[in-house]
Amino acid sequence: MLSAADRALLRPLAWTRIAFAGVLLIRTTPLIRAIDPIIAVDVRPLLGWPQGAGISTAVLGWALPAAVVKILCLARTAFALLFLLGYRPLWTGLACGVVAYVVLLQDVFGFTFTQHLLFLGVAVLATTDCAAVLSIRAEEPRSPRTSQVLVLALIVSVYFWAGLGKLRHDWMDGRTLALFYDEGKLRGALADLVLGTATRRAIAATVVALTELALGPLLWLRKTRWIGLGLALALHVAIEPMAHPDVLGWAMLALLLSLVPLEPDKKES
Amino acid sequence: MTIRAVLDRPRAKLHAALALAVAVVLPGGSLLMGNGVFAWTMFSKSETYRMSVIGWTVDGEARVFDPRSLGPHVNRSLAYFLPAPEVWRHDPVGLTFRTGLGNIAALACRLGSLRATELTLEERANLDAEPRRSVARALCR
Repeated sequence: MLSAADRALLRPLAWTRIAFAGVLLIRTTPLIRAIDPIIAVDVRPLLGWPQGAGISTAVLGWALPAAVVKILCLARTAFALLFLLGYRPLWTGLACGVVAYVVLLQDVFGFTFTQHLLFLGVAVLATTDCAAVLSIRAEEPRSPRTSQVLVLALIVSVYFWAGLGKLRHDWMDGRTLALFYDEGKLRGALADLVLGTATRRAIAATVVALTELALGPLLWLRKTRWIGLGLALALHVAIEPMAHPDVLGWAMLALLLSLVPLEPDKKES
Repeated sequence: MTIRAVLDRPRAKLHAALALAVAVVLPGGSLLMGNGVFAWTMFSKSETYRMSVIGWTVDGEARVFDPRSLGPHVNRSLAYFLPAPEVWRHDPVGLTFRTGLGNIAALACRLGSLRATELTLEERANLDAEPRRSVARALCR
């Protein structure tokens, strides 16, 4: 028998399932063209679809026949759609993640952290109680509390390792940001304002690293969760116009939905 | 409900194991064993690399090629990362190039009527690191 507090976790988990699978579907299908034509160049017609020419860039040379890769791309899309709808999420989500990684491994130069987050995330979400509500085939919740903790662990780990990786001299003094800025990978009015001088770049670099490291404990502790959610939202809103980091920010925001604290429904308890 | 009672559920045990694997083992392990490919280092790396391509004709003449001239012989994603000659390119794919350097040296045989090729890759892990040099050679048929 679930407590009211446990049941209050189910709706945010379902929001995350729908939003995250939506981001995955958009990123891996022609839908991305309507949102960002620049990052859509690798979706022809689906992400990872074989393009024919050139030597194999499959991991360890494990190249699959083109016809097999095409079928896997279609299967990934079908599994993602079923997962979004909440149909047998354990199987459709895991299948989507596994198939997506197999396609990704066909082109080692095509690997991005955005794809890694999407495919790892869908497999992780698949094991949670993300389809107990708001689904076409509602499932009996198994363990809502640890479901949320698992998603929380994924979110916190992304911020923690990202922050940890920046604790080096050439990041903290702003030189790495200068590289990105000079190459035009960080651009726009906000980038000019924040990264226009060496001093500002050093400040920005330090603030980003410390923010990412602070997000872990802020999100983990219930008392500071709203502060953590606000800070994470601010971080992604600031990064998005400067870096255009694929759909990474959207995927993170979809995961963060699972942490929105809802009041337990007294009537159901 | 106590933590022990929560973890008594089989699904909760699976969640605990997955959390450890996803949050600690995968990113931490990739940092310890490789270049942090799963360690969420997006938009933070300062890794750079440069490449030179030399081919020897049947007359023994050495010819220097622009690495980007390999572009038509590879897929689009690899072509994107081929650097201009003599330029330190900023992208975290040095290890990926190093792993397949022999294949690319063999591919360079297609750049002309060549007897042999030599591909040199230099990588810097960050802006303060010493360059690491790798060389691959191929005999053309």
